[in-house]
Amino acid sequence: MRENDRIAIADIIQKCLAGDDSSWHELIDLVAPTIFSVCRKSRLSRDESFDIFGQVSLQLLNNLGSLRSPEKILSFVGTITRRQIYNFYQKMKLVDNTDDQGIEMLPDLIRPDPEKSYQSSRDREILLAAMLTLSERDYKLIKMLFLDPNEPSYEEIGRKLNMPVSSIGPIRAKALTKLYRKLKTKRFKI
Amino acid sequence: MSTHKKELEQLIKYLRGELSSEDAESVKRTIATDPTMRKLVAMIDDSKEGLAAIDWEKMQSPVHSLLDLQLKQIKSSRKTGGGRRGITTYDSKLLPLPDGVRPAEVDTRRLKFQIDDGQLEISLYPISPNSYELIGMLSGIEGDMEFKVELIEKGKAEGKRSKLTESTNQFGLFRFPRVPEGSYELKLKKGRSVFAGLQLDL
Repeated sequence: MRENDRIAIADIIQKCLAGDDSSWHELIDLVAPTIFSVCRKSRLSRDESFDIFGQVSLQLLNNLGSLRSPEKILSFVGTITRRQIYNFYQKMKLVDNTDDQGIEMLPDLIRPDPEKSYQSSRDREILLAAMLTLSERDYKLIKMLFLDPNEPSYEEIGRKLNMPVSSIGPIRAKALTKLYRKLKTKRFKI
Repeated sequence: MSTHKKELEQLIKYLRGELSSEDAESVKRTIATDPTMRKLVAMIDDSKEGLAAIDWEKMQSPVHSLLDLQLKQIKSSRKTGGGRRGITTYDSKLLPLPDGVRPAEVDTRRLKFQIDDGQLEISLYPISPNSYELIGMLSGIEGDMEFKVELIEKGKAEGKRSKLTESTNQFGLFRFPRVPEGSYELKLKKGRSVFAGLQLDL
């Protein structure tokens, strides 16, 4: 995998809009963890989260073309997910039918530590959004090194990314530095 | 972040959990002096914990299956043109059984379809190895909820297809007491006109 093989979220979205099913898988693999993470933060069960996912993915299928900035995809998905969860709780009569501000406040209403859970849900979106601006190689390396719950060994990472174990060291340091610099820019506001 | 190579390597080892407690404490002190670094480490820790909690490895396959189904149904609705089509948003059959749960011989199945802004929720209860009781409930559809519901068997020659018909009550509820396994077109009708259709595979 070459360093300049960019993830280019805009390309993936363009291919999706052109009807390429495999690009839809690629896009969903990028956004689904955000959907399930927001569901998890809202204390939904696995089945309920899958139900929410189905509604969010249908909205994404129907509205992807209206997305103005491809790099906003994660916040777009996060917003739809929170809206669907809000509707879900409304149906269950767990949320007062007041106004739409309730959507943004949703984790506050159902988590014992609202400020923390709301912020960490946003933080994950920011981290993933910053990672999406890296090259595909750097994105996958960071994800496997630091975010994979299975904690793959360097041998496994090398095998999966088709790179010699000896080259992981220098590449990982550069990738992390790039991510750090991205997060320092105003765009990601951390 | 200091781009000093040794510090960076120590940070990576810290994030991978490869440091002794003494070295980890030293890295923690370095992290504490840099707000962006502190935030980055917190974000990584939190995201890892989140991904572990959702068990993405196990959810990926059902997620792809549901997506494929939606893509297929959307394409099919565009080809046929005209008339509303229900698109599957949930099917319990696609989910793997949770760890430690053995498959039951008799199990219910739940499906959800989106029809414009409304929803059709279907529950299937096995009543024999090859047939189900089907209970449906419409919600969120504007206007009155009374429809004729037809289940037309697919994949058989005209004349050999079975057709089952029921009606919803005023709350949008309907019930088919026995539906044999097979592939069906479910139609919601107002008089002779079709309000919406969807494919249902049992």
